[in-house]
Amino acid sequence: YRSHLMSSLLCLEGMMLSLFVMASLTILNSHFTLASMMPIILLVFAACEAALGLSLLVKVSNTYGTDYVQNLNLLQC
Amino acid sequence: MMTYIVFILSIIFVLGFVGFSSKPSPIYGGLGLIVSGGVGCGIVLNFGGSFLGLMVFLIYLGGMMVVFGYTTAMATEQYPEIWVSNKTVLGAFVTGLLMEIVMVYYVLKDEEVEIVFQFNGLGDWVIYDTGDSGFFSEEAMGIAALYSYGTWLVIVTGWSLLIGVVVIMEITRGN
Repeated sequence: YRSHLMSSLLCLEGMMLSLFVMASLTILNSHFTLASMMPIILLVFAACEAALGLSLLVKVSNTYGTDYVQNLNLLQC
Repeated sequence: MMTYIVFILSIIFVLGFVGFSSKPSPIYGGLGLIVSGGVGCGIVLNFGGSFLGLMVFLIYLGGMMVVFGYTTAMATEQYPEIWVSNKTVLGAFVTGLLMEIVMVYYVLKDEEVEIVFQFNGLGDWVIYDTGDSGFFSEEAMGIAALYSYGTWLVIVTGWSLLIGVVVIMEITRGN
């Protein structure tokens, strides 16, 4: 069973999506109008983070051919 | 059925999450995330947040998921794993599915489920209309306030996006 590095990035994106939905619902429900910009800002920084994670994945994939987590074993105890 | 539409959409939301967190091959994980994104947009729309819900579709699915899809297509393997091909993935998916079914059963039976915090039945998330909302959508006004009250926020996020692009180009330059 091979674990991809990509799966961890997808799970991070899932966490950002759940934060977005939860924040939007709370802000809409409590009529906290001025805080409606907060989920958008969250999405901006989540996009930055996703792009950075993907660029690191591209570098790993260029070095090892695949993005398996087992390839990241330079630091061994 | 329409009164319970948010409940049904939230069940599909959680099932989509279980679908990609059981770690099949990333292409199928991306599929679960797309389903969750679409349904999450529907949930936000049902609370009157039309701009924020469509932002999910446009920016999240249309921007970020497309980039994820291309990168996965670039770094994928020859025999991708679907949910039924590997016992680990199938076991994790079935476990998540069972936990969701148990929670739904308890919510439907008791009208109140307390695990970490209280899920108060199906009618909890009803919008309380306090006072006169006028002729404009207050959510859209709140987002429009980004450019008047939140000018510094715009400057910071714009600058951090530019710095992010520079960082990514430095990373992928290599050598």
